[in-house]
Amino acid sequence: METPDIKVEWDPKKFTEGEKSTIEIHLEIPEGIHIQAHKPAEDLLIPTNISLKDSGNVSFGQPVYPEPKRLPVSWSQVTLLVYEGLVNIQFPIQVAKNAKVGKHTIEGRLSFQGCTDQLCLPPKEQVFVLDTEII
Amino acid sequence: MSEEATSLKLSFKLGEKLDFSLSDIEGKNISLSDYRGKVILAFFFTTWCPYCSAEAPYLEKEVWQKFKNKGVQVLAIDVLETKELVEKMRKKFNWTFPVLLDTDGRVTKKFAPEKEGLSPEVAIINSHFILDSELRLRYYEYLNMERFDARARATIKKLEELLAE
Repeated sequence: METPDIKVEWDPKKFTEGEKSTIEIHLEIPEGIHIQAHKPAEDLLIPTNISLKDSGNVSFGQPVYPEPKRLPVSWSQVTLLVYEGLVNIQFPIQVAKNAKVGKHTIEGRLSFQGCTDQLCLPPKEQVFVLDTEII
Repeated sequence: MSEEATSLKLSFKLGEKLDFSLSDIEGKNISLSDYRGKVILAFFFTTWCPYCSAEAPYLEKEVWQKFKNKGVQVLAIDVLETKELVEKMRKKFNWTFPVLLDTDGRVTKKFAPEKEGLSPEVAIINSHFILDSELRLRYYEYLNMERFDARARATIKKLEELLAE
């Protein structure tokens, strides 16, 4: 089983020139899989990291990750910090005052490592593209 | 072993004599046959595997420290990672048993179940294999979180059984 992609969506999708606001990225983690949180329980574990690429039209601040779910591991002393299901991550966005009006794409990268109840899947980095419009 | 383990397609059998050689983290060549006469617990892991980290203290404290003077040998086998990364894990958990590096995955391929769409290096992670003093495979179990507790107990029980033989 290869590590499946995580579906990435976002909103809002339209911005005005010069706008400063917050966008929300939605990660849809496949059922049965949990991924390590941005700050995982142990330092050797692979954190979830997401980044969005600035362009000449928009720039992004640092993402704000949600509180993870605590997942105790049976008899061990470890409680994993994970995300599962739908996860929302917020990014500050600044649209340039002279941003080009029209449709644009934003490139992003998501890296993570997930497990099911029976497998630990290798770390993955996926590239994604989000469609937006400057009006 | 778990019922599930019995239904997997494997390239080995219980009772089969097994041997392999790998370099340990210090670069020394280690063979299973170096430990003939001991009951061997081999544990396959990666540094990024959360369940491996969860189990790491148990392997040192509950298995190795309690059984090393009774005739048990613990071997941790890392799958496809660098020495530097593995050393971090060894130091973090104060592992004092040998840590071997399967850098080309050939030992992993031998012990991993065959399943379409599942690479050996994923299938093998967090598995236990126990060999008796004649290097015969007597127990194995792959990761299954529903049996994480049960496997920890089963491993200890099998070690005790084989030591009593």
